[in-house]
Amino acid sequence: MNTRTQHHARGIKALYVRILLILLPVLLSVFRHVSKRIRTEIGYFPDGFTFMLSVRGKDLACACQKTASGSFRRVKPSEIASDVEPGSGLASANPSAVTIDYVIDFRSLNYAFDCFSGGLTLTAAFAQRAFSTRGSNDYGVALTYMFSALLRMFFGWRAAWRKPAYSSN
Amino acid sequence: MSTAFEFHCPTKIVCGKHALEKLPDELVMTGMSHPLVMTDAGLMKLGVAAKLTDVLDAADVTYDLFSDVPPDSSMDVVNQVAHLYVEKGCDGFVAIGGGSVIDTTKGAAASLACNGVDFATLQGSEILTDNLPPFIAVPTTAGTGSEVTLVAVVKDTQTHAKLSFTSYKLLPHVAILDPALTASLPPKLTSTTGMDALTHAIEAYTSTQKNPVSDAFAVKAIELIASNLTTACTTPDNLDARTNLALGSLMAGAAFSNAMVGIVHSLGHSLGGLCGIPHGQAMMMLLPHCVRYNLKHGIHAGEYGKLLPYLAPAKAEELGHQASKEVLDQAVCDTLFAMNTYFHDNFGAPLTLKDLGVKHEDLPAVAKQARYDGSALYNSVEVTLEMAQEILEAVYE
Repeated sequence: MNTRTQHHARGIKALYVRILLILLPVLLSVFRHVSKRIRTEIGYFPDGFTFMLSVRGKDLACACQKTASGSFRRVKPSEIASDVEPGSGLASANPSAVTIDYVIDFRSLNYAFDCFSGGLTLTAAFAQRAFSTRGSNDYGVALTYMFSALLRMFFGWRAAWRKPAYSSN
Repeated sequence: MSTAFEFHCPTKIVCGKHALEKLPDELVMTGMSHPLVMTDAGLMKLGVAAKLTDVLDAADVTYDLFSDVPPDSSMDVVNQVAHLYVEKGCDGFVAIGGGSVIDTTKGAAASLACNGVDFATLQGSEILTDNLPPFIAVPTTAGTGSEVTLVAVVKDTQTHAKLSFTSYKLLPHVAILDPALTASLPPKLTSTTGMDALTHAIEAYTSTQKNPVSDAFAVKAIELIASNLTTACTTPDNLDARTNLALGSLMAGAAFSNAMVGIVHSLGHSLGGLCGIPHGQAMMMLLPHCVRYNLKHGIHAGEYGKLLPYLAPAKAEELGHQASKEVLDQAVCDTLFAMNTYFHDNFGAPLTLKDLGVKHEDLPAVAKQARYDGSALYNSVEVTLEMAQEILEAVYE
């Protein structure tokens, strides 16, 4: 593949991931009505729980906050507390700012694309250390269960999700 | 098994009889002139910590001592140690003890590497970017493998949860394995900590993050532990058995540090956090029951059996090459139950949760916390509440 084609492919992957990140709160809010598993895991998080997905080295990030009704809303970057590190669990001095409870930071665009397109399960991504995390471990586990259920709905037909090892049944 | 993986074990290993006498040299090599020596009250009372401080005294090394690490360390202790380190002007750590002492030291060292932030804010993976202060670990049990792991487990006293911290930066720079330090360990504790190490190796071998390098460490660890654990219990002053057991524990630590663990640890962390069950005892009780559960549900079928030649070579030879995978799997399970029975009958190691005072009504809460424990993510099937509850019921009485 020549450099121009590679650049073009990266651009398409970035666009795909960007669209998925924009749609993520909507997808979670809608599919909780379809999937009991997604609903159960959402129930694990307290109201106001906020997580962030990001891709290292790229301008790709999305923060989602759980509302009192159990849906998720997109948090604008301007709303996020700037005086505490995301995932640190520390309270912001600004009471109106949103603090991030858990961060999943993909180590490259390719890893994020593979996960979001069903080429890699989240558990396999964990095993490959495709992302770093910050925040309370139990939230990380619940997020993994929730995303696994969501991704399986879309990509259950792909080889990575058909493997017997680690399934969300 | 995935071919995409990472493996990291940069800790210098100093192993064998009289290894502790090399400590002054290691202090120089790591750039320490005023270490904070970390230990616990039990090791002070038994005179085990004195074996290390005597070496420091003989070499005229200036040091400060923190000897109050509790068996189940907490965030409060971690932060207390970090403050003491700064107050005393120390320039590195020497931790002599079991997993609690070494993990507490990891926490304090990590906090210091991040300008003294509360260690609780560093939960997650790969958050640390700065190097720890010089850190020498001297284990006095052959079980946790903490001297070579990237994991620190510390209790949150508010939520009663065991919190795991993982980072490549958490590894000690040097591990000193001297059999003289484990020779005074009573047989019961030797057996439970040894079974903890065996659990590390077996879970590493079956985790989703296993890889060819971690497998090599796990298999050798199983061989070393299985062939030396009983000897170390029956003849505690057998220094060769003690050395091999310590090495087995270290290799199991290196294996699980890179492959991670699974449901045995999910349940064990939860039992430790909610019911105060010592980690080694929890691992010992849970391991055979988890293996039995897995085999009953076809999980790791054919995989456990591959470990039989290392776990029980005589049994493997007796069964021969023609034995089916099912027979080999079952032989591994039976061997683990037999080991527990032996340690129970001979040294009083507990076999049930009821023996340890766990209330039956606590099991659902233990199961729920286990489902959301970090180790659950590396189990090859999702840890459900039903699965956790079924295993806990089996271990209960």
